[in-house]
Amino acid sequence: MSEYFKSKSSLPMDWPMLGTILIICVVGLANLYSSTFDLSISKYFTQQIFWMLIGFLFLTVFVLLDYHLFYRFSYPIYIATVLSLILVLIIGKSSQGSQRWIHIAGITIQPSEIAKIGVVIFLARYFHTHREQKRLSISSLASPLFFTLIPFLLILKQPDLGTALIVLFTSITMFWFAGIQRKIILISIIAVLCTAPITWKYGLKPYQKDRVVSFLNPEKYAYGKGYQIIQSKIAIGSGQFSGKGYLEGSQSKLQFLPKQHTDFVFSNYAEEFGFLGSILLFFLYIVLFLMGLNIASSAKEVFGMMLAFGLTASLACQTIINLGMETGLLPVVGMTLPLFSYGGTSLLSSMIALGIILSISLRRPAYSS
Amino acid sequence: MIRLSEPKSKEEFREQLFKASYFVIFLFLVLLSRVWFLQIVEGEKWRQFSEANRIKLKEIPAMRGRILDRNQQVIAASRPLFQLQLLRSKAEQPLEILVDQLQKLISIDKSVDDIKRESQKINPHHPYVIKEDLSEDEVAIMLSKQVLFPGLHVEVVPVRDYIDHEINGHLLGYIGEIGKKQLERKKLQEDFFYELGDTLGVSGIEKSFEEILRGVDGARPVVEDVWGRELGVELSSDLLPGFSPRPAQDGKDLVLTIDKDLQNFSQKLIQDKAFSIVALDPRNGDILAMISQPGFHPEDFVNGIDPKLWKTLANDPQKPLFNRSIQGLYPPASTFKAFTALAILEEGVTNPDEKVFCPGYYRIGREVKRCWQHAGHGWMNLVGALKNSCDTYFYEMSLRLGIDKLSHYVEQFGLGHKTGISLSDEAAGLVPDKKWKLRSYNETWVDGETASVAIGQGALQTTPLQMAVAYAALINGGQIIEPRLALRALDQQDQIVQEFDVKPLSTVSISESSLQPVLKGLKAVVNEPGGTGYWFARSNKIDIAGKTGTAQVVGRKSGLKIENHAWFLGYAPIEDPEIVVSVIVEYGGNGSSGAGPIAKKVIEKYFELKDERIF
Repeated sequence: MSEYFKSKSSLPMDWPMLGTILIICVVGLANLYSSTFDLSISKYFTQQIFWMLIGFLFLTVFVLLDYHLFYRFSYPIYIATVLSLILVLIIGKSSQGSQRWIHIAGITIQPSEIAKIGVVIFLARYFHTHREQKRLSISSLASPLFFTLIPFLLILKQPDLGTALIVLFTSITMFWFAGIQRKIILISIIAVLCTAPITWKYGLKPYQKDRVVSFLNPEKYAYGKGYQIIQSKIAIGSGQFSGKGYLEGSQSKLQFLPKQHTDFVFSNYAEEFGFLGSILLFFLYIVLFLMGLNIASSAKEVFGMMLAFGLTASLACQTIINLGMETGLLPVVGMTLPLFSYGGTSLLSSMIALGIILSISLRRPAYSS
Repeated sequence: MIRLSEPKSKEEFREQLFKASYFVIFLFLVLLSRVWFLQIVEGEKWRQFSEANRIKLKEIPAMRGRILDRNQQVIAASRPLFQLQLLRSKAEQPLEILVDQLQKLISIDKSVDDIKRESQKINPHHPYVIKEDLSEDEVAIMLSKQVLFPGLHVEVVPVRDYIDHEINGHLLGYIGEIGKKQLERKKLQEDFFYELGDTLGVSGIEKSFEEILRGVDGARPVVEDVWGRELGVELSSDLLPGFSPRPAQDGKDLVLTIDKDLQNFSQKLIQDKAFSIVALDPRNGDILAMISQPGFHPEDFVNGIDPKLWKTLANDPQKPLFNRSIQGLYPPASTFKAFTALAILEEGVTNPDEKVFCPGYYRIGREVKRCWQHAGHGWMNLVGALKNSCDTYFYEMSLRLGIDKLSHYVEQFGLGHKTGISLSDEAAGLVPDKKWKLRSYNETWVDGETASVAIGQGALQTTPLQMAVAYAALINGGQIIEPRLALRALDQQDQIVQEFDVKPLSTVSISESSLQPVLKGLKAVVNEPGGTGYWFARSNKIDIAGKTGTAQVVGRKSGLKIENHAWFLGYAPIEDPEIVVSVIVEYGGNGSSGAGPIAKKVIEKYFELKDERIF
């Protein structure tokens, strides 16, 4: 295995991208300090600093690790992922009505976070292998579809709709990237829409239905199910052009905005930094994702391309869905804002994904830069 | 087989990646335009929502104005009430232990279970009142032991304080919490100051002069978190309209026309009977005293009346909640003869010297109407008829006059109409005439009824206040003056902010030649031997004139003799009268013995107080 740590790098470290990651992390930390100001600062803030350090350690490890390792072990990784997802349903620790965590030797693992990366690795390998095929037959398409749906459904079963959706959307973009005809994708989307009523009736939990209903009509549920959305809109909107100022956001300071340090961390940020701050943050995320896509385009081989693309797509999906949900464009699903929200698991999985992308960057051919 | 994909070269993949880049940028632009919409387009709206979340207006209670008598003696004031409040969120001990320890220091009326049950219904960050009214000692104890009881604190709220505990509830009225319906109705008014939980005057003077007495609560903007926890006072000058601080404006003091000493003295004159006394100044309509007994204590209503007490009051056959002075309708009986006498002279059906023979009865067709003096009065002229209260004389004269002329004449004295006193629910009374009979009973008027009305019986109905106002007009040159309850309103610096003028409503033209014999008769009633008021109303301190009245109580039960209502209308001094007193004692018997002494005592007390105040 040590061979994979050998530097095959033909290029120096991708410092601009690492810098962008670092800036987002620092802004996120500062914002977290603000959003947990009246809660227990020591608990959340120092905890997050600890996770950041661990995160950068992981990032460094994955940068140094040659990503070809994942090519070689893609199927075992996939199987391990699925097994852990099954395991979590059996022995997982439930919290707030869903089973998401496994405790092994004092470490808490959230298999759904691993699955986000595992499925990308699997699909990258699959499409790399089948790239020479002149025609992707239905059967050759059916197998990646099948292998994507297994983890998706297992995560949905926990239930963790947010993560399941990321896995689904990431897979769809990868199918598109692999070159599935637009017609096929359209047909699939229509098929999904047609089954939507059935999914609504049998597939969704009551609380998930509530979220959708309250999303469609938040004012009506201002003190009930729509409370979160309304308070989030109040926080963001009241930031106006230049924001209320750092540590001055009343919506989160006075606890009107629930989950102000986890899923709704952007609302706190937008309240304090206003439209100007929002532009800055969006710019940072755009830069980060474009860099990720750029790395994909200059990767050495199709697997690297697929992997960098998939991981970037996964992070972008998560970011866009989270921001859409906080601004009231999308229904509320449990989803964190990468690098910004409080929470170790989410941070670590983002750091690992970024580490792999940087690893691909480090190992691309020199001519493509 | 369907072609599912095109084989791709790296170049083609790169093209895909370009598309993906544009798509990412596109999605972020969508998000950015959404944020632009929220923060720039709708920003002001959301800022207002956020301010409304953050800032709550905390009420600064205003003190209700004081009520003073005409000599500036305090009848009702406002005082700070010390409440012991509990903030559960700050309490560190379990409630049982806290209450147990508290009971060792001060007495707690509520049981531990009640406190537990009631306080748990309230937001833990909002205060729960453990004890309503702490004594000074208890306040001192609680303040010194404050540190031992986190979560407990003493809060000051203003409350009505009845300095004069004897004051008649009917006159003063009481205050109560504004009801939900009332609030809705009041909200439609332009200057709306009430909120749920505010108190306002519900009856009596407290109600009529609400606008003067009520204060306007102030408010200070307070920053509260989502749990309702107060975090401090907002000092920013950049507050939304409606959130700015405003000081409490205390209510204004009201100076009454009432003489508190005369009022309280008069109230105690009779113990066991229902009665009403109205004393007013005939020169300006000032009510000096107004009593309706039995009554109630306004204090009992301050914190919401106890349902048991309410039931007792409401079911009492003597009707303590009924204000006899303005709502009680009685036939005025012989006190009315003064107006009949005036009417017959003014209408010229007789002259003061003409005599009528009274054999003790009077025949009208087949009907025989009795004079109260069954033995008969003999030959009576007008003065004699008033002095002796001879019914026969007035039977005869009223038939000459006719009911419509009589009614029309006495109505000018305000009978049959509300006096306009600033108290609600005043009764108008009734002066019957032919039209009324036809309208009400679809029957024609008969002469016997005219004769009844002439002696103040029949369908005639008046309130004690109306009779006082009418008598005032007899002796003040015919002026009907709206009875006045308040003289002026004072601000906190005792500066006059409003004065209540004397309100003459109309003038009855009375010729001197008609008036003099009537006044002579009223003087004779009290001051000449044989006058119906001679033994009971004559005073050796002051000359009093007046008229007795004995109202027959209709509907007496068979075999059970029910006493008549006793009336006396008097004034003094005879030259330039200063006070008119109207007294009715329900089931008080004869007017002379039942009501006369009461009127006399009130008048004597008035002059006694007047002398005292000069020195």
